[in-house]
Amino acid sequence: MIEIKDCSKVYGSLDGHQEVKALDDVNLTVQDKEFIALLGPSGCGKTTLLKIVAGLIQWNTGSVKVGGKDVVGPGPDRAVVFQNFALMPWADIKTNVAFGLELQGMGKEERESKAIQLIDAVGLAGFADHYPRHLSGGMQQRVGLARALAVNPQTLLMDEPFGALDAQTRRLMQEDLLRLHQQEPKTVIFVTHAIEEAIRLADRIVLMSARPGRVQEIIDVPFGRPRSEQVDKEPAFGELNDYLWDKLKMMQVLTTS
Amino acid sequence: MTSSLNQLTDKKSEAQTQKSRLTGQRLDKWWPSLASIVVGVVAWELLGRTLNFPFFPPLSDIVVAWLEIYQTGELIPELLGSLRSLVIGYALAVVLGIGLGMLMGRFRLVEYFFNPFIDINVSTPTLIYVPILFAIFGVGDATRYTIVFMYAFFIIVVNTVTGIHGVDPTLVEMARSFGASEGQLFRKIMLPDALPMIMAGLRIGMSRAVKGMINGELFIALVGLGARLRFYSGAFNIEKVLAILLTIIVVASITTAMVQWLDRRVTGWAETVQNR
Repeated sequence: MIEIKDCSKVYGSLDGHQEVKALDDVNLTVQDKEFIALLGPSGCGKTTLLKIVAGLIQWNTGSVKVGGKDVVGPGPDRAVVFQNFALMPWADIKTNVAFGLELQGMGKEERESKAIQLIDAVGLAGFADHYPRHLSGGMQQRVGLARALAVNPQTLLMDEPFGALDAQTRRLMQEDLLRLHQQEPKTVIFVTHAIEEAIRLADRIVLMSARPGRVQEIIDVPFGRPRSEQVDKEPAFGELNDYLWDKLKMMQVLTTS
Repeated sequence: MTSSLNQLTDKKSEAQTQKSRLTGQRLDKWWPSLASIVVGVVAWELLGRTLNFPFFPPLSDIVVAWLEIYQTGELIPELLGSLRSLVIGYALAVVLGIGLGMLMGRFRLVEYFFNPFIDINVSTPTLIYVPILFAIFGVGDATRYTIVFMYAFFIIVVNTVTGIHGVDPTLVEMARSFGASEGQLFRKIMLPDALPMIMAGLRIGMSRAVKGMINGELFIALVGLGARLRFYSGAFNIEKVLAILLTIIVVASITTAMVQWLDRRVTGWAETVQNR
């Protein structure tokens, strides 16, 4: 379980620059194996919140607990999938996938055989010895996903993972992620600014507003699992999509005026 | 899902053809350089014979002069002595240069502390230190090593610092998210990501080290190829001066080629925008 209580984060307070309140009293509880989407306009602090849970950013006030323990830094119970993939260009795919295991001190043979299993699992069989530059964006993010899954975390933290991909690749990746989540459910926090993506994937959508970043509303997605690829044909999908779009539009208008 | 798998297989064969195309191009790149050397050699020989200037002998005369020097038995020991100072001075510059450069690149305080000295010495002609080193260490080997070291050290530091500054911050964040320690960050992310820049520093450093080797010996005038150079030019033996010069050029080419070879081995992954 992930418990975020009254969490606030202010940027720029240390070196005297103008302070920016990135997060303001955020409260959120995520159950085990729950899939949460953080949805909101840019600047709403959703990535900041994700990185706080990852232990990559220090927050100012409030408390953040994962599995009952205070977050003091990154840990093997959480793994991050990055928006721009963050693959090491000098290392082949199996080395990239095995990177987390390598840092943990696992032996070369063991970690590489584990990496190859995961490369197969994300649909990249046969690419273990290729280099990232030979792969398309979608394939690179599959590597990023395999690398995160390799350390067998309880929680996956995904920071707009499909944001850099074209629409078709994005759909394929969403379907594969749903399938992987069905096979082996993990707690997922998924940052996105795409409404459809949030509805398609998540159990609950956390709608955030910008400046300062706040939790505006938490919406239960009315679709169970396993979730059909045709979920967008349901009337409820369109209704929720319209509802969220109205909310987001209002926020954009408010922040720009 | 089947369609996406087909797509993947296509991409795979595409990547493989690209790979074999690159191997073919590697063979192509030797002949322009080879042709340029052959043209240079032939032009030298012809011009030397037709012009008949005393200070521009044809290449064949220089080869004869080189064989004469070689037969006296003094060339090889001097060459080995020069190479030893090159290797020792350069090795020290590589180890200390990369070490200091990485610390400066990583820690702002270290960078601010050393920066004035590095900046000054990158642009200052290192030759001005030679009289001082001469006064401190005398004509011994220590002077030769130190001169080579100083010629190569500063550019290696500067390139390493630049390389570390250019490390992709998202890779650092990625490594931290997987629990990397500071040492692991250095070894597994920063060093490899900065390597193309560091290797460029090592290449420039090597050519500067060869200059340092010869300049130092010219100044001391007692040891090494530099001393031979000075001796023959004092005797106005232009063929032998050029024979020594050719030896130095060959040493410089071989040592630089060795660093280039290493560069290609370790940074072959880096993308290039050059037209092949």
